[in-house]
Amino acid sequence: MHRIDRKKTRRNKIPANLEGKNKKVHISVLHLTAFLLVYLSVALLFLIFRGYTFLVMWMILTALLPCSFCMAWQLADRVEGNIFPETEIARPGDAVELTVSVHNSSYFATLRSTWLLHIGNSFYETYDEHKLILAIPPRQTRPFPMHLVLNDLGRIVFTCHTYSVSDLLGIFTICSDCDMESCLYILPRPENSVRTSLPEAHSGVAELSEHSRKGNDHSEISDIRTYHTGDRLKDIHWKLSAKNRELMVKERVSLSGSEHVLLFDLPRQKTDAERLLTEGYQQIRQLLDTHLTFRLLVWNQRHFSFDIHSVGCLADLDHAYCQIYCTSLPSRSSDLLHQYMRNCYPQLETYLCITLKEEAVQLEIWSNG
Amino acid sequence: MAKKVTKKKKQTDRILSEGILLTDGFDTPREGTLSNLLVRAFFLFAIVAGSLGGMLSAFHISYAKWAFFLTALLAALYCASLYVSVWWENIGYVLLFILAMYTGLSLRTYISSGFYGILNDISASASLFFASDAQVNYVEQVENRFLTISVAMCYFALIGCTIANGLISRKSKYFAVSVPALFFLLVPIYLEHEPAAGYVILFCAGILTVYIHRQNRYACHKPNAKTLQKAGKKHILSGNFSGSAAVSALLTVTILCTITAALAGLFYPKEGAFPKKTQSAVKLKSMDTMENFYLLGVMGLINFYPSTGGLKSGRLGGVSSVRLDYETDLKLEFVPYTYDRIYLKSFTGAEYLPYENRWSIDDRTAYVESWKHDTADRLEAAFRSGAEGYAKGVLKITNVAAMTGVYLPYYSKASGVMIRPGTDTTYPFFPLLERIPEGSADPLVSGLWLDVPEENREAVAAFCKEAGLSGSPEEIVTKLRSYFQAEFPYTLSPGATPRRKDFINYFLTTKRKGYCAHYASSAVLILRYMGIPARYAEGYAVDAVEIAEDARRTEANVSDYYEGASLLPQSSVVSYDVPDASAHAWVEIYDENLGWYPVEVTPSRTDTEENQNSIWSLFASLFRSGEYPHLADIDTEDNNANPGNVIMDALQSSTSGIVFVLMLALLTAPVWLAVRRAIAWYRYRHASLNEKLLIRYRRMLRKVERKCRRHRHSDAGGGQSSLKPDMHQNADDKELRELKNFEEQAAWLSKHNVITQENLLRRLSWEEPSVLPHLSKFPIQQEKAQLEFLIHTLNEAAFSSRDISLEAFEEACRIMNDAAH
Repeated sequence: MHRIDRKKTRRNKIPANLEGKNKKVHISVLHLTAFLLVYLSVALLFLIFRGYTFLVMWMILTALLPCSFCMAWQLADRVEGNIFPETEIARPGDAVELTVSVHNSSYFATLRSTWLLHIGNSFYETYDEHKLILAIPPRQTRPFPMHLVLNDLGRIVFTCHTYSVSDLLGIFTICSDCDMESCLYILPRPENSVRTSLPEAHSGVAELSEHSRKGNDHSEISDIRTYHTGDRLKDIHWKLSAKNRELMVKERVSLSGSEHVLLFDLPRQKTDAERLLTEGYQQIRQLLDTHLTFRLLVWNQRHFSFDIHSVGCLADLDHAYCQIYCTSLPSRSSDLLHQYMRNCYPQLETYLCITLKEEAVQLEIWSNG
Repeated sequence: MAKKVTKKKKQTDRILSEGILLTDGFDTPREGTLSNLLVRAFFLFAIVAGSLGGMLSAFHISYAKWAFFLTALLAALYCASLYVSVWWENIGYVLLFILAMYTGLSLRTYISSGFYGILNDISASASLFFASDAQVNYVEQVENRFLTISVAMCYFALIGCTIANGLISRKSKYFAVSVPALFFLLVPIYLEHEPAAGYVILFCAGILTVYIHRQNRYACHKPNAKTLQKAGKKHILSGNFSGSAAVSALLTVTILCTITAALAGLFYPKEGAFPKKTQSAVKLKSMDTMENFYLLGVMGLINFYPSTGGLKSGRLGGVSSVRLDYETDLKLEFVPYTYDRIYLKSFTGAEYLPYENRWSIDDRTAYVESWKHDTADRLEAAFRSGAEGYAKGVLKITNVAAMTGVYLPYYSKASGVMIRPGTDTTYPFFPLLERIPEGSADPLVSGLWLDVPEENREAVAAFCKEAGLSGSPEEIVTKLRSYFQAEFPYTLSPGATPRRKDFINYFLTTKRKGYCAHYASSAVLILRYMGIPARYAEGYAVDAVEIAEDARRTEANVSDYYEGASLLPQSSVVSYDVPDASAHAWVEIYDENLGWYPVEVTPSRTDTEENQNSIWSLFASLFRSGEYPHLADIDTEDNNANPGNVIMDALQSSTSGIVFVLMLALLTAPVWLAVRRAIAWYRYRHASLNEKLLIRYRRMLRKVERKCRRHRHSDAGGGQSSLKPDMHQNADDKELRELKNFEEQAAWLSKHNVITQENLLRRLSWEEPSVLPHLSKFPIQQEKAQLEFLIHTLNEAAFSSRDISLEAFEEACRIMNDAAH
C-alpha cells in the first residue's frame, strides 16, 4: 500500500500535459559499436591480466549502459519546450531574437537533445527543416536565443513537433512528440518619402455611389440571427420568420458609406508580390494620413471569397497585413479577380485597386461593370 | 524590440530559410563560463591524478600526496583556463612552457632523483615478480626520497596536464589519452600490484566523462567558419555549451563509478577475488618478453638474428626468441651414406670474449688450426690406396637464402669458398665411416683451445661440480649431455641476455634454459675447464631421418657423386632442402688420433616448443589459463579438455590456417559488398529529395564513365566513340565543356541564366563540394533545354536549402536515365 502511494507521488511530479508521451527508441549502431569495443577491450584486459582494477572498470561499464538508458528514458518524459520570438511584428532587415526555451523538471541531464525545427514563411510557402541540438541541464529552464535577420515580408512560422533525447553514451535516442509553435509577421517598413494621392479624388469618383433602391444599401447579408430589440424592421427576414415562427433578422455588412473599397491584386511571383505589398503599404499609409478609411479586399482562394479588412488607422493596416499573410500567396492571387468582384459585389460600381502594371505598382480605379 | 541591422553579412551567418538569416552568437559555445572551466579541469585532474597517483599507490611509494594533488589541480585549472580567450591561449601556453622549462632545470636534481627513486621501487617489484636477481638500480643523487619523489610527481602532474589538455580540451580524444594513461595503471597490475580504489574511481570518472563528451559530440571546441558551413549544409543548429549539463553528467558518472566500485568491493572483495597463482596464458607468454624489456629496455624487444635460426657467426645473446619460418636456406645434392647427422660448418669459434658475448677467431694460429685438413688428407690417402671402408663423396650446395658463408662438410679439403645467396658450389669430401685412418692428427700448436676466460671460471667450475663431471672425454661429454637434458630445458624463447651480464654465466647460473648456441658455448668452456681441447662451431646440421623423409631422388649418376664404401645399403643421388630450423651450433673436440670432430650436447627439442610460436596458438591461448611460476610448461596432456586448445588444434596446421584465411576472405568480400549496398540503400531511402537527386547524379556519372571506358576499349585502334559526336552537338555546349574550372563554368551558366546569381554566390562563399566540376564528363545526348533544366535542378539540389519539387526530381531523373542509357 505504501509502495503504491509513493508511486503516485512520483507520478504527480510529471506535468499533466507530458504524461503518456508517445516515445520511440532509436539505437545508434556506430556508438553502440564504439562502446562495445571499449567494453570488450576492458574485458580482454581483465582476462589477460586478471587485475582487480580491470574487473571494477568492467563492472562500471556494465552498470553505465542501463543507467544511461534509464536516465534518458526518464528525462524524455520531463522535458518541455517553448519557442517564442521577442516581438510579433517586425520590419524587413530587423534583427529579431528568437528564443527556444527548454524546461527540464528532472534531476537528469543530457548533453544532446535534438529538436526538429521547421522554420519558414507561410505566406510564400517556403519551409526548411533544421535540427536544433541542445544540452539540457537538470531542474532548469534554459533559454537558447537565436538572432535572426528577417528580409522578406510574410508570416514567419517556427514549429517543432518532435524532439529526441540522447543518453549519456550517445547510444540510445528517445524520440517524443511536442507541440511548439509561434509566428512572427514581417510588415513593410514605413517610409515618408512616398507621396500618394487618391486618383481623381477631387472629382468625387472615389466616393462610391449608392442606389436608392428599396432594400439595397450596398450591404451584404453576412448572417441570419434572431431578432433583438433595436434591430431595423427592414432587416427582418419575413419568410424565414414565418417558417420558424420566430423573428429572424438579416445581419448586414456594409460595403459603402464613407469607406473606400480597395482591392489588392496580388501577383503570383514572390518578388512582384513583395513589391506590391511594400509600395501598397506606403500608399495606403499616405492615404490614411488624409483621414480616409478603407475596406481592404484580398482574394482568398481557399474560401473562394474576398477577405475584408476595415482599415481606419495604421494599426488597422498592420492588422490587415497580418491577416493577409495568414493565407499563402498562391491562394491570394487570381487572374479572375475582377470577375469575382462583379460576382460578389454586383452593386458596386467602382472600386480602388492596387495592382502591378508595366512593372510599377499603381493605384487605380476600376469599374465593376 | 527588433532592431534594424545595418552591419554586413558575416561569413558565419547562415540562411535558415528564404529571407531568414541566422547571425552568429548562437553557435559559439560560452567557453569562458566557470562551469565549463571546472569540467575541463576535472577531466585533466582526474586522468592525471588517477593514473600517476594510482601507479604509485600500487607500489606503496610514499610521497607528499597533498602537494601532488594540489599541483595537479592547479595545473588542470590553468590548462583549462587557456581556452577562455584566444590571446590568453597564445600567451598562456608560452608561459606554461617557460614555467615547465624553468622548473625542470632548477629542480632537475630532485626530479631525476625522484624519478630514479620511483624506477628503483618499480624495479624491485619487477625483480620479485620475475624472480630475477638482475635488478635494475639507478643512483639517486638526493637522499631524501620522500622529498624527491614528491617534487618529481608534482612536475609530472604539470607535464601530464599539459599533454592531456592538448588532446582532450579541444576534441575529447579519449582514446589518445586513455591508452598512455592506462599504461601507468597497467604496469603495477602486470606486476600484480593493484592501485588504490580511489585512484581507479578518479581515473574511470575522468576517462568516461571525456568519452561521454566525445560520443555526444560535445567536444569543447570553438566552431570555425568551416564547421558552421558544414553544420549549415546538414541543417544543424548546434546548441551552446551548457556547463551545468556537463557538470551533471560528470557527477552522474562519478557517483556511478563510486557506487559500482563500492559494490564490487562489498560483494567481490579485492583480496581473494581470484587466486594469484592463476595467470592467463597470454600473460605467461609475454612474461619473457617483458622480462627482457625490464632488463634491457627497448633493445630487449628486438630480435637481432631471427631469420638465421638465432645464429650469426658466433654472436650470442641477441636473440630473445627464435622465430622459425621453415623456409629453405640451403639446397643439397649428394648421395646419402650414413645414419649420422651431417654437419655443414660455417663458423669456428676459438676464443670466447666474456661480456662481449661472442666467439672470436682473430688469432692467426687459431685460424689456421681451425681449418686444418690433416684428417681429410689421411682419409683421402686411405681411399686412394683402395683400402676398404673409405669413400669419396661430392656435395653440391646451393645457397637459397642463407647468409654468405662457407658451408663445409666434415673432412673436406676445400676451404674458404664463400657461397653467396643464389650461387652454388661443389665440395669433395672423404666421409669418416667406421674405420679411423691410420696415423695421428697434427698436434695443436695454440693453447687457445683450452682457454677458459677468468670471468667464466667461477660459473663453469660451479657447474662442473654441480654436474659431477669426471672421467674420460667421452664420459664427460655423455654426462654433460645428460645433465643438460635433465636440468637445462631446451627452448626457442630463452630471452635475451641482460646488459652487463655474461652470456655463458647467465645461462649456467640464472636462466638455465636456451637453444643450441647456449649449450654449445657453455659446453666448450666446460670441456676446456675439464682439460679437453674444444671449440665452438656453427652451421647447419641435417639428420639422416629428415633426409629419408623429405629428400627427393634425382636422375643424376651416383658415380658422379659418390665412390667407395657406404653405411647405407642402396644409394641414389638426392636433393634435399635445408630449412632455417636446421641452423645449429655444436662443439668440436680434439682427439689426437682423429683430430677435430663434432660432439652434440644440445638436448632434443619438443614439438610443443615449436607450436607455441604460431599465431594461432597465441589466439587460442586467450581462452586458456596457465599456472604461475612462468617456467612451468603448458600441460600438453589436458589439450583435449580445454576448448581453447581445441581451437588451437584446429588452427595450428598451417594448411588449414591458410584455407581458413582464404575462406574468411571469400566470405568477407560478399558480406562487405552487401553491407556497402545496404548502407547506400539506407542512405538513399532516408535522404531528402535534394540528396537523392545528387546521389542519382553521381551514380549516373559512374555509369557513364564505365560506358565511355568500354567504348574507348571497343573503339581502340582508330574507331571513334559513338558518344563523341553527341558531346559536341552545338557550339554553346562545346564552349561550356572547354571551361575547365568551376568558376568559369559557373560564370558561363550565370551568363546564360542557367544558374541564379544568388545560388552562385552561395556556392562561392560556402565552398561546397561541387556538382559542376563533373559537368565536363557529362555526355550531352539530350536537348539543350533538358540539359539546362537538369543543371538548374542539380544546382538547386546542391546549393539551395529548400527541397526541390517531386516533379522536378522525377524529370531530372528521367533525363539522367536517358543520358546514362
